[in-house]
Amino acid sequence: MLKQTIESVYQTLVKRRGEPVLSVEKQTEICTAAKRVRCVDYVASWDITNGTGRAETVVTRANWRFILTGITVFSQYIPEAAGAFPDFVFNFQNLPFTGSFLNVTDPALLNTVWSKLAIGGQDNGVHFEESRNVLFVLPERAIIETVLKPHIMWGGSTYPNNRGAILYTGVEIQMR
Amino acid sequence: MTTQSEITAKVLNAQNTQRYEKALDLVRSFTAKANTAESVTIPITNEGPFILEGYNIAFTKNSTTTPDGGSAKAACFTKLKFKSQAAGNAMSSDFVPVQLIATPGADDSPRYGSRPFYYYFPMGDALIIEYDNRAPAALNGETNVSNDERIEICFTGKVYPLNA
Repeated sequence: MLKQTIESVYQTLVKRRGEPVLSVEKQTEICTAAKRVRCVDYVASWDITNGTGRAETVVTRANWRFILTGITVFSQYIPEAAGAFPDFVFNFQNLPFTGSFLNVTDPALLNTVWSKLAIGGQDNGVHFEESRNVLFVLPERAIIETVLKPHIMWGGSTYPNNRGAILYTGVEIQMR
Repeated sequence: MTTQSEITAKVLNAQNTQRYEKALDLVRSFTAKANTAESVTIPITNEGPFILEGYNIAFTKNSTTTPDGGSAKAACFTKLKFKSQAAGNAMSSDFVPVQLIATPGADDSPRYGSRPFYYYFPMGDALIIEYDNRAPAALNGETNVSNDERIEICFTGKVYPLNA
């Protein structure tokens, strides 16, 4: 039993004839690549005050290309707890080509996609791993602008105040 | 390999002379003090470079938010930011609400999954956890009170020992 265990451990470390599975060159290659490709989160805060929506603008880092892979929205209040939940339009600027929108003239009603993410005003608030998957390649110094359109929920007539954060997550690759 | 001594010799040789990936968990539990913004540091092993592959975060909800005329609800106002001491810049552009990056799960139910996040730490580096646990200003006439929160984080990844 012991012999079999040791032998299986050894086989994990080496190929046939005892050559290392992970050579010095391969390890160097892995670590070199890991310095140039890494995950990153860009965070933008948003708020709706007196019916007017506003969100921070995010700018991608110099010398790094950003591959946006997911967007997650956090809201302090959920609509049922009298918080306005906006529609979002994501606009990318300062691109080498004409700026483009992630969602265009009819922005998705995102609260039907994301679950209740409130930190207050709710008895059973839950947090789910509900990041909307996207794929968009952005150059260095690209501008991610978020346009908010407050949405009246459940037939109400007013825009209760609300605020939260947007997480743009993805991979950044060093350009030089 | 036919004898135990031969096997032992070969395994020791692999350990001493050859490179291998070694899984490593860096775990840190700390108290995010009420209405405070501070940082805690985790030294990275000196065995070799560490490549972070993901993390799990659990947090308490000891703070409260009380709607105007309503009853207090449990809340957590803690925001986090991680950075490599060697790189200088952070893994996020700003503080992130812990709810956005914590291990998914409902209150009082098992938590599941982890968040993939790849990042390189050179040998001897340190992982800095910055937190901001200040209560936000009132928005709809509610009262937000920040209390101490217990944050538990497990960073998981691989170490590449040098001169192993």
